[in-house]
Amino acid sequence: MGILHRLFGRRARDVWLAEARLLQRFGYVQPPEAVQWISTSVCDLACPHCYSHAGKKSHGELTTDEAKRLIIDELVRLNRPVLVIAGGETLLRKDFPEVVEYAHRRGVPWAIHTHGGRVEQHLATFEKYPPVMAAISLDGPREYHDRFRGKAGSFDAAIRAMKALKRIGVGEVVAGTTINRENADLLADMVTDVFDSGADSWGFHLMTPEGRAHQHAELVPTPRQLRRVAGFGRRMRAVFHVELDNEWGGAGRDDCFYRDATFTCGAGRISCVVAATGELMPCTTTDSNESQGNVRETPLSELWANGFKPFRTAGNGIASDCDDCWIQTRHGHSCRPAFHLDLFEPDGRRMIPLASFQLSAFSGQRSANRVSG
Amino acid sequence: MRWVAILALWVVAVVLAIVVLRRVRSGKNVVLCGRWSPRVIRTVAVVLVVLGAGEEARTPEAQAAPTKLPIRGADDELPATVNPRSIQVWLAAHQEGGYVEEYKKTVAKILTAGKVAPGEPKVPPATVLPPQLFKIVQADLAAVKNGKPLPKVAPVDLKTALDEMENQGRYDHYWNAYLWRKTATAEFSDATGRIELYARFRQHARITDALIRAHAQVKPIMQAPRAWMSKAGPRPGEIAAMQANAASLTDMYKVAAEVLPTTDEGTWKRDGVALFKPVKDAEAPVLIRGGKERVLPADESTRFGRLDLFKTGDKPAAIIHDWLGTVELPANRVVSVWDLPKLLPEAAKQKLDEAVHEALKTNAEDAADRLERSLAVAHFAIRAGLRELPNAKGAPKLRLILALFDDAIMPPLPIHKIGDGVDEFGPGLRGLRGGPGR
Repeated sequence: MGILHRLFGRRARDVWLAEARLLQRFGYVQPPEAVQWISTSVCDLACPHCYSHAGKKSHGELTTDEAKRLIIDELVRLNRPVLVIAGGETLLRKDFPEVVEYAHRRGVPWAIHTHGGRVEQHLATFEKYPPVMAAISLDGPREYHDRFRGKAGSFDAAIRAMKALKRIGVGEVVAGTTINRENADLLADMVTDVFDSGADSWGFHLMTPEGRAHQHAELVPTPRQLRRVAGFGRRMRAVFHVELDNEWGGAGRDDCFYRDATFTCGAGRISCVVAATGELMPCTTTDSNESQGNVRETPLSELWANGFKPFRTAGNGIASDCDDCWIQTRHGHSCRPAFHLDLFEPDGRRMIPLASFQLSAFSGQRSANRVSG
Repeated sequence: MRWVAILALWVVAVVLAIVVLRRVRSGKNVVLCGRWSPRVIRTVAVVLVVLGAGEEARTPEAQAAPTKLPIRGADDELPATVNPRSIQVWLAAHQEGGYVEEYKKTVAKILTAGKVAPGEPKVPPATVLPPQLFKIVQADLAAVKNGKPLPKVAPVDLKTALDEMENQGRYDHYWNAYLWRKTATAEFSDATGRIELYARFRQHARITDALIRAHAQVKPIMQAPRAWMSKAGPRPGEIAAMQANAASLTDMYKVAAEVLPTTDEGTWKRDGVALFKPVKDAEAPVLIRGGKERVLPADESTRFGRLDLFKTGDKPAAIIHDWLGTVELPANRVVSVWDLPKLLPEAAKQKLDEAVHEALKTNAEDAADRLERSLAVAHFAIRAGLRELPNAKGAPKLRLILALFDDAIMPPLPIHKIGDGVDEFGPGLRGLRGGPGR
């Protein structure tokens, strides 16, 4: 088995890709590893980097019964992938404990993304039905975090949430920092806070210029910043579990220095997202053109089995390319690959100056080809 | 009997083909939820990729990277201290949540904060680090606790610490960089000791990266891709399954040996460097990298990194930096990045101070970028600027850049007063007192 292991390990991403295409050709598909549910658009904060327009409740959000029947029951059919409950702010849903209790009863593991402000109110639920992972947003040191999130005390609440979740024994608590142009430089100043929070790991996400963030092009980090942040993350990994999230794309053979598992875009292949109104999306994109259907009209398991064809077959441009974050690429955020390049040997083709960002150019564009320099 | 078996196989094949064809024609996919079929599919996929089916998905980086070098130098071979047994120690020492990692985190936190919280550090087991390194680190922690400068370490103790680490298979970027930072204040009696030690640091970094690469390549065959990095946790039982299928130590050893020739010194090559050329009609220094001497090419820039040394002969030598100008190096010296900033001419120091000033006051990206591109000489000025204006608008950015030089998360500034308000790292920013951060 040794040789097989090594062959797999060396080309894991290619194997996953070939496997997905092979299965698709013969009418099969692997079950998802995780299904994210944007449980609500309601949020009590109005962060500029939000990939949706979270704030008010969307018209037609899934009800409690629908969440149980159309999502959790369907996940049982899909081999019980992790149900990642996100928002908006998911803890503002009054039925949160009921939904989690139901998932637990049906044997579906769950994870949560939250700003942390209401974790303490729901601690009993977390303790009784522990998630496999809880990610709490942390945008910067106290002053910056509170200012960015528009609410004094939100930093302290996030830290308290992480400590509380660790105290009650949640297996993996993640401090999640979405990198933007303002906080990219603040990471070295956040180390002590992250360590003190008790978090098990620190995820560096990347602002996606969608939703509200689309209106804040000035917050897109520069290539130089990305390079520094990635370099910092690489060093931090010698001390702490830091990971560059998928939005960064892959770093080729150096990927292992930035994250635990080889990068591969999971959209429609290993994961998907159920939007607040039941639309099934490949990832957290809010582009309705990417919807594979609504779980109210077609069962989730059926949509998973028969949708996402561009992601599972060759020749669909960035949608079928596992080497990159297709959504970032489509949004013109093409400087990301610079993160792992040498300072003195930049790949000019990929180092597109920030001024050339045309955030409006992608509007309505579906599965566009890779942006070239 | 043989014909019956063949007939049976054909029947099975035809039935399977009909089932698959019907499924394909119906356009309805089926989700594969069995226990064994995913394993069979995975094995077929591995074979397909090996046969070339995955070629289109290979990244340009992967294609560009040579898989084998024609000649293997002595430093391209793993030392005897790296073996399956020591790899086991390496894996154990790096276990998340283990006491070794916890101790490292505590040390990093104390050094970053520059203070010791009550009850810290907890007394670790004696085996947390090899004895000499443990002694050095504990002395530093005691100094922080007592508000004193970090003590100097003798070169021989640095070498012993590195020897002990490697003998135990403790290849670790954090501690390697820790010992390297100690060379800033170590007093080397001869050039050879420094050259050897820097070559050891470089090799230690390469071997550590080779082990990390090997660890990434030797994985259980059924490992699923991570759905979202940092966004979804493993399903119950997955961690246990992964541990049960723990990577083969022998395989890891083989892969590490295989990738070492194509593994460079990583962050040491990538960051904290500056580009220099020899000066026309002047004596040129020799560059020493990995213990080997190299002549500086006349017409092209050469990167001078944190593990490189310039060696001069009986006459003073000179090098030129595009932005900072000519730097004269005294005769019969071995110069490291810790020495180079002190040798800059006044005009260059002034340029650096101005750039630091601009970066701090305005948070200007261009000024910060200029400093980062000359970090091997700019780090003194950056430290001085941060001491003067720790709360300036651009201070966080410069702290981040400095972390790339120190190869750590902003350790304390090793200040050693050497007389009359002037510390070893220069007099600080001239004329910047009372800036925006004060």
